[in-house]
Amino acid sequence: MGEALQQQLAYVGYGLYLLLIIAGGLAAVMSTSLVRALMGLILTLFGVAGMFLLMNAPFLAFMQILIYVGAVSVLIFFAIMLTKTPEGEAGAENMLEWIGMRAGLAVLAALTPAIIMATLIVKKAPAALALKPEVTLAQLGEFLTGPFVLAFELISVVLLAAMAGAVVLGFERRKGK
Amino acid sequence: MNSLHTYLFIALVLFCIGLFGLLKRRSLIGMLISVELMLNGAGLNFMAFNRFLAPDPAVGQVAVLFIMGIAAAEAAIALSLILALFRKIRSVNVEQARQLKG
Amino acid sequence: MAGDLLLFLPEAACLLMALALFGLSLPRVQDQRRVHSWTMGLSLVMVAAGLAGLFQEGSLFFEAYRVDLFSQFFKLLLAVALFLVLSICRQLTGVEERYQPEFFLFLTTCTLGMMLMVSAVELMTLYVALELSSFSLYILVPLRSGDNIDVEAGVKYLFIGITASCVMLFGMSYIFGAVHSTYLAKIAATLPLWIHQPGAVIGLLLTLSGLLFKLAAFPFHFWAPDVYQGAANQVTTYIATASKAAAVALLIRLTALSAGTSLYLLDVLMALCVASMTLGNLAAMVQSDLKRMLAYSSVAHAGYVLMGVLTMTRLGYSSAMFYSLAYMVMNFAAFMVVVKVASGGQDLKISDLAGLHRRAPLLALTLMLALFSLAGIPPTVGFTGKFLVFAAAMQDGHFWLVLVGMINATLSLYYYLMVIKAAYLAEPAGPREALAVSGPTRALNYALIAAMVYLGLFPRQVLELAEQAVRNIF
Repeated sequence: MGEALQQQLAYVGYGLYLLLIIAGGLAAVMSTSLVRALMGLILTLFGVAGMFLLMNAPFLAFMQILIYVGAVSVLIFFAIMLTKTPEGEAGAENMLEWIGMRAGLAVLAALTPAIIMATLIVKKAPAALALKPEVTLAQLGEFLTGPFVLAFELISVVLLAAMAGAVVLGFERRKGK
Repeated sequence: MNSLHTYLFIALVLFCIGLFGLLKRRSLIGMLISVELMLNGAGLNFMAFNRFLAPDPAVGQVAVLFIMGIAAAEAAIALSLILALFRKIRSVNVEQARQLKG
Repeated sequence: MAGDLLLFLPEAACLLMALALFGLSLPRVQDQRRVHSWTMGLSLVMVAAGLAGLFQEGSLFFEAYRVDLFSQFFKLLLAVALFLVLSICRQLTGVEERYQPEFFLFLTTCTLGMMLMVSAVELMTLYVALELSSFSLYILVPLRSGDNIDVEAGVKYLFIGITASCVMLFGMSYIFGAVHSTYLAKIAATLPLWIHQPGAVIGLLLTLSGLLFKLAAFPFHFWAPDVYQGAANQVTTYIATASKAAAVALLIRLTALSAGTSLYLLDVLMALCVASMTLGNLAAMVQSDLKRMLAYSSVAHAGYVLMGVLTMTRLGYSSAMFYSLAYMVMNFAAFMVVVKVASGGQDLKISDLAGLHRRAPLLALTLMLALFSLAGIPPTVGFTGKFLVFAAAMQDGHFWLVLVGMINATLSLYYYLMVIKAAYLAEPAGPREALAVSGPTRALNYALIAAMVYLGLFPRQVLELAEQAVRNIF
């Protein structure tokens, strides 16, 4: 495959993933149905995985799909299903709210960092270096067991605490006392 | 595609969409979905800086892996808490939970 | 190898304690008394380990973990705070019985997270340790028994907390982008490179937001009143004491990176400091629930600590360290009285204190001293702490800031005196029986009173220790 063709394909891929991220993200925050919002989130997650691929990090893309799409999204889906009430989907929101104060404030709060950081990125971001070779799994492993070993071990304590906590909180509580 | 700016922009857009959703949503699950978007924005940022600037190309990737691990634990705790709340007030909307003042 | 273990002693003790508690939580039926005695014993070991490790120095885990007097000072503080909180958990009426071993377990993992946090000098390690302590607290808050607002408060705490941590991560990514490293030493070494890049300074500010959340300072303070009220009294005590100290430690470490050369950072911190003080004090005045009032007062105290931190001088940092110790002692004393008076684990209205001086004179005395100390009246430790912080800010030329601080301290006198008035002058509506104060509680009270007065009159030793500790990082 020629160099030029590869470049073209990268552009196409970039556009596709960008579309996935933005469309998915908007669906995730705007959709009135939570299931659709979750679908939007999953689209975004796939888009981000694609961006990782474009940045020469196939392992991260794989992990992104495995952990986020495979675990986190499924968890959220369970929560949506478990909190369903007879009147309809839990937490469904109506469209009218759009014009309210809340939405206005939210837009304002989200636009402030967007404007500030975007100008900074345009004006100040340093130029990119030449492309670097792909990081092998072995290198990643060396980092995880080298400089990041404490954080790596600590994650296991975090997960233990999170699991124990989820079990404790998940139990049906006795009423009153 | 080989430009740092473009990736930083996407990360920023994701972060801001997430922030917007977090403030706008009334359902706790909707808020959690928005938080995941924000986390992805941060992860993308780490990866982009790592790819185009850092002399050591593995550091940012390791950071992204940590973010993923923390996000999974966070989701587990958040969901068990949401379920506990649901059992109590039969709703996951913030408005119904307003026994709290400011 | 043995030397390395000595460096890691307090953390190792904490980890062992967590493992032991995890084992204790497994059997179906437990003897509560036995679990509590075990926990107390283990935490005493931890305090001993903290003392033994106080003057250790070195670095571990490929330079990602720095052990110096600064970190060891805070570790000892955390170990003592955990021990004190556990000592008022004997009758754990606020928490369902079968969750008590887990309750102790999460307190311990939270302390472990904070201990690692004060020593971590690498951003990812720091972040993971911070999350460990936050997650444990997210679980502890809704563990309260009975029909309270605990679950709602827990949800609120969780969502504000994860928002703050997302913002923190986003900020860290910009620091990483500017410095290309996650090591604090590397970041400090390349200071001239990034201090004039707005992106990096904004990144540092965003990173601080995770700590401002822990400290309940201005933009992230919304959780404080609800969580203080909603969580079980003992958990509130822990959040109000230990968790604050760890946040101060990290604030000092991270702001020291800029070496006081960034005016943006200074301006923002000053604004946050003024906002926290004023908002906290004004809101505290109208509260009727004692824990809510103390929550708003903690927002105000976050402002005072920030005043010491933002000077970014050695004097300011050591005064902030002293203040966090003082705050821990006086706040613990106040909350200890809350726990003892609310013996059924219920919330405490300020009016419920009526006639306390007759029901339990010793508790009333401790409460009065603690509140005087919080208000900053001599000769208590709170006065000395405030004086040092104000003096440090004055020396750095922040006259207006000190003035605002003084006005705020005067304002705060009002609501602290209201509580003392309730405890000493107000007559209860009906006859109330005297509160039984057990021997160990009595001893604890005397120790706290002695500590508050002694540290207030003779702060020199601790202050010198703090100054020596600050020299390590700045």
